[in-house]
Amino acid sequence: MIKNFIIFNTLLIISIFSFNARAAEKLALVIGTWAEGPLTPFVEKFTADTGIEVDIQTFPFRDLLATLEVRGNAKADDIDAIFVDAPLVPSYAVRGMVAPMDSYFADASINDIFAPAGVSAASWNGEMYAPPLNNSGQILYYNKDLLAKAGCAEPSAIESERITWEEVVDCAKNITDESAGTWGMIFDQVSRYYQLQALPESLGGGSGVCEGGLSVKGCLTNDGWMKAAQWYYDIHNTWNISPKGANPDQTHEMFGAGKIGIFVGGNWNVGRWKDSDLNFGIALHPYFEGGKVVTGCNSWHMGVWNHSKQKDAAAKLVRYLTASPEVALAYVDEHSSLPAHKSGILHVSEDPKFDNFPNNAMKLATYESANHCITRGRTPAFLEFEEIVNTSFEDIRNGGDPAAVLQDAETRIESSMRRYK
Amino acid sequence: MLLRHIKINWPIYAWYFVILIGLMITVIPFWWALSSSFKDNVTIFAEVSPFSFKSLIPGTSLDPYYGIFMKGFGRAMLNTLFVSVASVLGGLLINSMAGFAFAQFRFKGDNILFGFMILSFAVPADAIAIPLFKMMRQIGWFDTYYALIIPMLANGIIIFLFRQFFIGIPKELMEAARVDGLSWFGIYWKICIPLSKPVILGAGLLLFVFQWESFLWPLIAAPSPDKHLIQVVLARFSTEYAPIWNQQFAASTIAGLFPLIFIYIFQKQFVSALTGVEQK
Amino acid sequence: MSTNFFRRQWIVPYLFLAPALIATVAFKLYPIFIGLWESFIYTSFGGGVEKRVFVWLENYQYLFADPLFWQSLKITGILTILINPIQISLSLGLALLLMRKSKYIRIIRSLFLLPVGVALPIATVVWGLMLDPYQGLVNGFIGLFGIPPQPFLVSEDQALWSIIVIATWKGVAFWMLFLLAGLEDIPKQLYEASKIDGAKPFQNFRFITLPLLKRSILFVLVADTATNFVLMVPMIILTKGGPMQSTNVLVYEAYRSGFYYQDWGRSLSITTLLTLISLIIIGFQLFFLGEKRDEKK
Repeated sequence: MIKNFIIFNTLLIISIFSFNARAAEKLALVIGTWAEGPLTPFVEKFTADTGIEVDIQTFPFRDLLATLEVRGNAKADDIDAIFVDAPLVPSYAVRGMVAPMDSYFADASINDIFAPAGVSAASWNGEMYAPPLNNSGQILYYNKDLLAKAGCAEPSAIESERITWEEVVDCAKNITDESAGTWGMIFDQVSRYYQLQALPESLGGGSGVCEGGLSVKGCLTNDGWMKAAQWYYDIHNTWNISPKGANPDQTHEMFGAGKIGIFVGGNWNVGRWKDSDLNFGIALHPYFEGGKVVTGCNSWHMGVWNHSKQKDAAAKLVRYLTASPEVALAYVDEHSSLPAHKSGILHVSEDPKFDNFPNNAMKLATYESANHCITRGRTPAFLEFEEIVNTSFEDIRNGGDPAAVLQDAETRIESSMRRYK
Repeated sequence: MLLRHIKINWPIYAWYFVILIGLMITVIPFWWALSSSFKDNVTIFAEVSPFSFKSLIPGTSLDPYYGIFMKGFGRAMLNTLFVSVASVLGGLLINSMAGFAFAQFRFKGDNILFGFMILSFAVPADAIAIPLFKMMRQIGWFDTYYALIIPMLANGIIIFLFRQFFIGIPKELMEAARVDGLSWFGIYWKICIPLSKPVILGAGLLLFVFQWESFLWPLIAAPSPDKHLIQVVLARFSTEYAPIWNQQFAASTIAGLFPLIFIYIFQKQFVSALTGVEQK
Repeated sequence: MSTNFFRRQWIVPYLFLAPALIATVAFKLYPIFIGLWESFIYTSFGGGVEKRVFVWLENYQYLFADPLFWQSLKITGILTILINPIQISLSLGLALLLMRKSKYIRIIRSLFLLPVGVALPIATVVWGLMLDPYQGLVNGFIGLFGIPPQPFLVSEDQALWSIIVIATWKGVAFWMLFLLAGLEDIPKQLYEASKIDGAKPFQNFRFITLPLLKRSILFVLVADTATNFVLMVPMIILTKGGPMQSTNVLVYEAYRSGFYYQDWGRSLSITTLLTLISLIIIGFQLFFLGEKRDEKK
């Protein structure tokens, strides 16, 4: 027993010291696990060029956001450069979690480096806080066999022939066969604001956040939003062309298993199915007849942690990783990630390897993001806004009255914004 | 004669019937998880809708088990083992010491303090989790093993158990030792502890199971992946990645089986410790 | 030697008690006060500047004006009223059933013990998969009897019940242990004597079993109520308070306000209220149904 105690105490003491061991000059870079592969070689190159050592810490998505929240609350100074989820830029800026970066880009024009969508997402109140690392794009995938069997025309990748949501619904109605377990359509990220924002925006309802970012009154219950909510309710309840219950982890599996006719989702999905037997095609993102053509976009940005003691060094790292053409190109070529950097965008539109299926998914998505991107609602209360909007969509999907749900959401989000005024 | 025969047997059959239903509801979830953990996902789905009893026959593949260890499940197991064992050692020590104090001594405030420690058991961990979390951050224990172990050591039930047991130790034994010049700590360590093996087993098991099964506190207090405890990792297979069902079940089986083995072996001591009633 | 001996002796029990006492005060008592204090503070970010202001009871005022709070309170109340009687009666019933002398009783009891060893998060995840509206085992099974598939956790009406099922699956096995121990404590002679007097089983139950089991039942009632009051693991893993806030119990609302929105003032004011309410409920139970608590926990 005593032996165990000695061992225990020794372990304890060792852990005390290892906890405090962080070399003074080392930068702590906090990123998502998916980015470790792509970024590590460039971080090493950065160290080789500048002599600044970097310690990479990776987290899965939900943990990443949570750990930044907790550290922000505690004003911890043990991290230096971080990943910033694009729509959270205003939130982090207002709550003092990221440092302003205009001074670190004084010698270059941001608009020359990044595409407009990325620039607007990177700034708040006229100041740039977090340059974009990459972008994302939404396109339409369709199961050729199911569509042929239902007699639908294949959706087009040509702008003038872009399919409308109305046409999608008509086709889906013919495909849906509950006894066979096949459904007409499904969204990649069901009941998520990121995916569904395109619906109210296409109907002219705006992002849901009012100008200024500190209120939603009237902006979440306007005509466009009400119509979109009703439509979302209808596809799951009235017309029954989209299944309930499946969560964002399962939707792509369903399409991959041949159970879905039309799948609207991220460009990266093509990698999931290109080697399987699935006979599928890609097309442009739908829009509402007479409405605007819009798609979801934006992805990850990088920022300098505001409580860091080595902001200058961190800013150097951030600038290198986001603004270097070589990083952008590698991201595109090796990781099929949509570029936010102009040279990356150029590469995708000009390099012939992106002309053919399945790589043209990148080209298609880049085109959509570049021209029809809608940034998510810009508000410091984005965490609250998004969570409430997401649950609202899910409630509507499960049969809740769209008007009542939206009204309730608007009231709740409005009161949660009190803290930011 | 025949009628009486039927009358006697009826309650037995009824009893068996009800017990059977109860057993089915109790055991089937676990059994289904276990069986499915050896199959591939397509099979699992196929056997469930439409429903066939094949879903209750175990599969034969060990792939899911390999898979979860590739994903860091092994690390989580080790972490949880470390935290649980440390908690058992630490918890047994400080709680038995407190029990000893209450059993052997009359001192000022002893009844009040005893009542206080017992009542502390009634404070639900989940209610104080949030302020405790803020406190951990304030003292720099956030995201460390300290936070996982130390706040969970003091335990009113265990103090009660040890006190109960120590009271039962004949006073003569200890008086003799005092006369021989043994210090109080010596009495505690050399006499009372060796005698209290059953309580140690039961209490130790309680502490172990408590830490092994804890989810909320580790989730809040130590979120970095290298400190993940087993229940947190388990829950994450379900919301984060594609819910790979067979891996989910494999993980659940291991995580669930582990404490069960100990509880089964030391059933008597466990139930004694839990209920405070001697089990024959 | 005797006077010195006595003087030094007084400190000994305190020394033995010290670690556990310090740990209890530090980690169980102090957090309650931290929670209380923080519930009086309002943090705002107007204009990008963080301000922490002591606002006394204002957080509570906003809370009471928030319909979501009242909704949570209602759900918590419904859950409490439903789950505790169900769990306790099932536990008691099971314990009574398991008192029977049968050659398989050992194995049967061990089997019913299984859910105790299975942690709640595991049980939640497995049951969650079993209750899946499209591919769940439960829907597949009831389909055999011609019952159409049920939405369970995605339905406003069934979600709370589904959680009750999950918690009960685990809870009954656990509380049954206590009642079983209490039942075994009842001297057999009492039953034998009443049998000679020609008493029927139901009279046995009413006049012997129940009164002597009172202490155990009371303990289980109080402990179970307290535990279920802060039940939030299934909400965190499965329902996130939905659908349509139908499973948004107070403790989950507190968790969400704190950990998702970082609104600690709101979170801790809910927690403080929760602690208060549960103390009141436990107090009531003890007062109306119990005797003075002596050393039995």
